[in-house]
Amino acid sequence: MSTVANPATLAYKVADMKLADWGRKEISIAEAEMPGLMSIRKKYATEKPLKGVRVTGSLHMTIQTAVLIETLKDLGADVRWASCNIFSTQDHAAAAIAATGTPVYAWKGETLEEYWWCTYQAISFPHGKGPELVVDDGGDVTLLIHKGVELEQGSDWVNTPSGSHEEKVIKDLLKEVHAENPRRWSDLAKEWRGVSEETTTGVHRLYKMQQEGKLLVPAINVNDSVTKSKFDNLYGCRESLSDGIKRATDVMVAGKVAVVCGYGDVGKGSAHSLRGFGARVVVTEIDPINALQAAMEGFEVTTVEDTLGRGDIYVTTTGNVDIITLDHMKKMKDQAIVCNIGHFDNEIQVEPLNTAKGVKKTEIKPQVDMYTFPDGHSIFLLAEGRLVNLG
Amino acid sequence: MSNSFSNQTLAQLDLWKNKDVYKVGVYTLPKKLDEEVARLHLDKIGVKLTKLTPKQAEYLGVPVEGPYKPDHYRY
Repeated sequence: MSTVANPATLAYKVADMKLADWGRKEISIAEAEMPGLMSIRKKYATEKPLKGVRVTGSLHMTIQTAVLIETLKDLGADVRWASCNIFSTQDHAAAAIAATGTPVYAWKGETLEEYWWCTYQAISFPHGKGPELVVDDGGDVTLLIHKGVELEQGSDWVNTPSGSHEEKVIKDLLKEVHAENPRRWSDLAKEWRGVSEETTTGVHRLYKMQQEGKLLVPAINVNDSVTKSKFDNLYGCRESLSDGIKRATDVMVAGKVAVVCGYGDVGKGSAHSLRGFGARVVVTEIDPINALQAAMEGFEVTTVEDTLGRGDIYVTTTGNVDIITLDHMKKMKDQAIVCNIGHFDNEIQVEPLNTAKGVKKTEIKPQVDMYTFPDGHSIFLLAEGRLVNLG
Repeated sequence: MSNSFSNQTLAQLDLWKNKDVYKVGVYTLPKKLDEEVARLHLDKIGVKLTKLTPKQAEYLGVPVEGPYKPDHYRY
């Protein structure tokens, strides 16, 4: 695929436009479920405070996100959109949005190359322009623009060894853009006025950039609005975690030993989600306050190592790396299910698992893979270690 | 996700409206807007909110219309 040639000439790219009518019907239902957005639309119906403002969104292209997109458009914004996860797009939602003439680049099951191509399309407004505002989820647009500007200012990051395949894809894209237009990112950053960030992970990146003096624009941390983190992180995951596991595996959760790594807002929602179905939930924590909270809720709190051989379901919720290691997976009970509901897939050592000697991978269905170890035991990895509730 | 996306939209409005005021940095939305997002969802799920009397508001030292909690309050 040509990655960067003639950006902004392709009106949209989605899986199947025939899904648009179905998407539209579900968007109508979602509107009734999203009174906050609908009230904002009504309030600003005449004023159009974002009239003509170029907004790039990088956020799971779902039915609910469609309601967000159409709210921003209602406020007057000129919107372009991509998903922030290769598996999270609902193709009927993307088709419905494309059908309204909004440039959207998203489909379920993108390769990493396609994912970053989509992100770049969402940034690339006509006439060489970029976004004035960004709606980010996980910080990928923010990362790309910052790395692009740093490259143009002489950073050598793109030529350093990559820690993952995804990192290499980002570097290749930056190099390609740079070769075509060595001022692309600086020009684009000049008119960029701000970003609002959805997730704990993205916010963490923003504060880090601020500390290092690298942040280019004002950023609003949406995640730490009480009505966000104490609601969607907690109650959203309480509903969607078990739903994701059951859709993927049809497994009976009741009676299983479920290990939830991390007891922040997402971990709390996850632990209660599994308990609600009758799982015996074990929590792992590094923070004594969160650990005590979990214990006071009646959860057993111990280490991952301590659960190996008895844990049936493992869920990572931490926002940290290497929570479930290859070594852990080697020692897990036969038929254990491993999944992640934190933003990035590096909570589970997926790449080491894929390249481990003697480990056989069998695809059961898309996003459900069985890995069989030399000793004969198998585990199931859901959504390739990416967000299980959006896969 | 209605909560999240209402916050996203209010953040976009705020960034644009105050684009000449904001300095580079990371900010959170003011508590008043946070309360507003919650308020927008109450009708839909049939919540009937109690209103502070002026005497109660004065007793607590908060405005009748909010915001009700100090920034360090953790819910």
